[in-house]
Amino acid sequence: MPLTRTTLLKTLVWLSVALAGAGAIGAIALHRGESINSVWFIVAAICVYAIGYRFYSAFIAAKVLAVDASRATPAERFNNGRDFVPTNKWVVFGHHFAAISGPGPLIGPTLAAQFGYLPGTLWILVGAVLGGCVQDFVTLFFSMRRNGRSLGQIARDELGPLGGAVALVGVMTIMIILIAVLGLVIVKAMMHSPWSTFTVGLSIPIAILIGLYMRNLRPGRILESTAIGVALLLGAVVAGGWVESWGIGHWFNYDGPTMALLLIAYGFAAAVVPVWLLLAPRDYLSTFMKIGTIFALAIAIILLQPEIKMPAVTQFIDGTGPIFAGTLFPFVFITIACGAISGFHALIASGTTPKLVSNESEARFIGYGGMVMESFVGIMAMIAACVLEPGIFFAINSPAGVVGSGAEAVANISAMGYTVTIAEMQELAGQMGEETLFARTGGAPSLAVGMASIFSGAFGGMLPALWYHFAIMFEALFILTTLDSGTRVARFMLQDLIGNIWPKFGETSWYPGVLMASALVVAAWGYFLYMGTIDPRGGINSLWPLFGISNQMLAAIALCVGTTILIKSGKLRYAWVTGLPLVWLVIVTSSAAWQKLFSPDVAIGFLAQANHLSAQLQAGELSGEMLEHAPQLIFNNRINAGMTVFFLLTTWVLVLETLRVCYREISGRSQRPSSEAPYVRTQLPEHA
Amino acid sequence: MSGPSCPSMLDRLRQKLITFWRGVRNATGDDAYQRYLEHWYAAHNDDQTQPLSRREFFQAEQQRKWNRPNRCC
Repeated sequence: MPLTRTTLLKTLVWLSVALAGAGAIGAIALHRGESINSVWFIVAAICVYAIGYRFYSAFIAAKVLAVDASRATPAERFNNGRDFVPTNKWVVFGHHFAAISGPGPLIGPTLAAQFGYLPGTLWILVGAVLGGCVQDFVTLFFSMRRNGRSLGQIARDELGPLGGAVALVGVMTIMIILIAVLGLVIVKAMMHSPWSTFTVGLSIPIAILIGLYMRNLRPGRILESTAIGVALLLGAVVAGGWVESWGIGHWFNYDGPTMALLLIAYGFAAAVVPVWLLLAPRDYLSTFMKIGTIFALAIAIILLQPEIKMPAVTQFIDGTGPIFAGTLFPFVFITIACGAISGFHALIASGTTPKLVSNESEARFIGYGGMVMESFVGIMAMIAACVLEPGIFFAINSPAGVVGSGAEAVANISAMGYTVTIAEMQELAGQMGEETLFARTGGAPSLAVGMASIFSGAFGGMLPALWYHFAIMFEALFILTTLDSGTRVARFMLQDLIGNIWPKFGETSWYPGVLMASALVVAAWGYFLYMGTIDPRGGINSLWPLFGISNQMLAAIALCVGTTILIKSGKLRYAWVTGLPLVWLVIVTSSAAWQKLFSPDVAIGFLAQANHLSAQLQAGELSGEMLEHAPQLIFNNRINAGMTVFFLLTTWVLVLETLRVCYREISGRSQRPSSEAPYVRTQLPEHA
Repeated sequence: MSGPSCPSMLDRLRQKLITFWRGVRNATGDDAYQRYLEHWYAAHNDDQTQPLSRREFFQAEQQRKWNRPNRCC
């Protein structure tokens, strides 16, 4: 019988996918040799994603959400030819992926490689298929069932005003921390690097040029403008290499704090000029670069099949790592947010995307599939970090305040068991066209070195230095886009918030209000950014965990909303689908927050560090820069502690509110009806 | 008869390329204004008003697009 034969064939195919995946995971988990080939990672990832997508997401679509292909989506019902437009699913997938993937899945895995390749890789795979993909899919679906409403609005509708308010303030705070930490990443990548600073700096006038072209010369000719812009950007990467020989290198050579001030000034300017001038054109360029580079990286890894030199697990799982402090649990789950589960995606999945999906049955491919893709970017970043010799990886990523600088750093890192020499580091810096690669924290430089070695190995022909600066430019480009758009969105939220008390301030056309709100937002992230640059531990050490906690907290908010909706719609027996990742995130964020607050270890606890510094200050043990910066650092540690308390409280208020609403629902005392839009049959020809 | 000189194959290739190019324009928003006009004439055919000009349309679209979170980490 043909039917049975097909079924049998399918079963065999999926069985072999499962076996291949299990074999590959077994290989990377149990391998204890000198090095392991990256192909194992690719095979493991693809098999895990294939099984997760084919079975788990199908189960969620059919049983948990009861996706209904005959139901008209908001895109169809409110079609206005502009934001609500039924769109081809591949196009929506592209838009959604471009919106959710940023620097996060590149930086997080790079930092988490401190624990070895295994913990991060497993978390990226498991976290994505059971957590991140589910969150994105469920949020997208529930937003589509609610006319494309945003997460904050859905939280208010389903949980009540308290839940809504907490979600709103939470989103704004996350935005501030996110911008600060991403700003710090590029400051660290560009400081004392005239080539990078020149190239990234030149991207600003290039974007403006494209903005003017797209507005005045050829309105809306996006492809043609982007092509010109990309050509100019590639020219800027090459030209950066000549800056030293032109004798103008010192114009582009700044230390961290100066670079931070420049970035803050830039951020303010970018926030108050119209979007068409800078933000929109740069976004086209960065989206194009991002998608192109990610594809190129995938092809390069498959062609080159580089060897992974990092051990599976390092001794730093005990919390003594030089890049960031803290034990494997909970910090690997905080360090890798994007790539495994990222709350920020819930804002996109309840923003532009639900207004474009033409049929409910496509939400699975876009929501679940989009996150699978981002998770794969995380795996590639992990590979790029781990192809470096571990000694070199640690020398690039460890702050001078922890391992010392130069000969001292080399000695300390070698003593940890990861041999590295000054000569090796100098040779590498020379190859990459940089003055030094010691203590270039933040993840971007080491990722760029990894990418440069993969690209120049796979495609050859071009100098590693060009690839290195291409990678830095590519990272900086979309970090700047996130920085600009984040500042802008936070400004709108702030204007909205203060507008409740002072209505004039809330008018987005009132220019003094715009200036004040922009200044407040830029000052907020600028503060954390600047403090990060004077922190002897490199800043990333405090800011990245704070970002991870806040991002996971946002994910917890989205999962709270999802669980509530499931229970309200009579799906209590499936509530574990969002409930289990929620419980896991609450455990992870709470314990990480607790440790960041109260750990007696000065490398981990914000308060312990503040107390330690003030004791040193009083005993007169500090000198030089440390003496000068100590009062600021003490104050900053207390601010960080305050932020942590805020994130912890926000999470728990929302969790308790969810429990209350769900308890009322289960015990039959429901008051708040579901906000789902009524059923309308689709008229679109292919589904009607 | 087959081979690259076969007209039907060339036609098919041309068709494939055209579809691909349409997809690229669609995905990048290069054809957003055309799509807007098509929608506008379909929805407002008995109206006295005029659709937005190309320039007005793109200015309004950019304002709308950047007023909410649309770029992630």
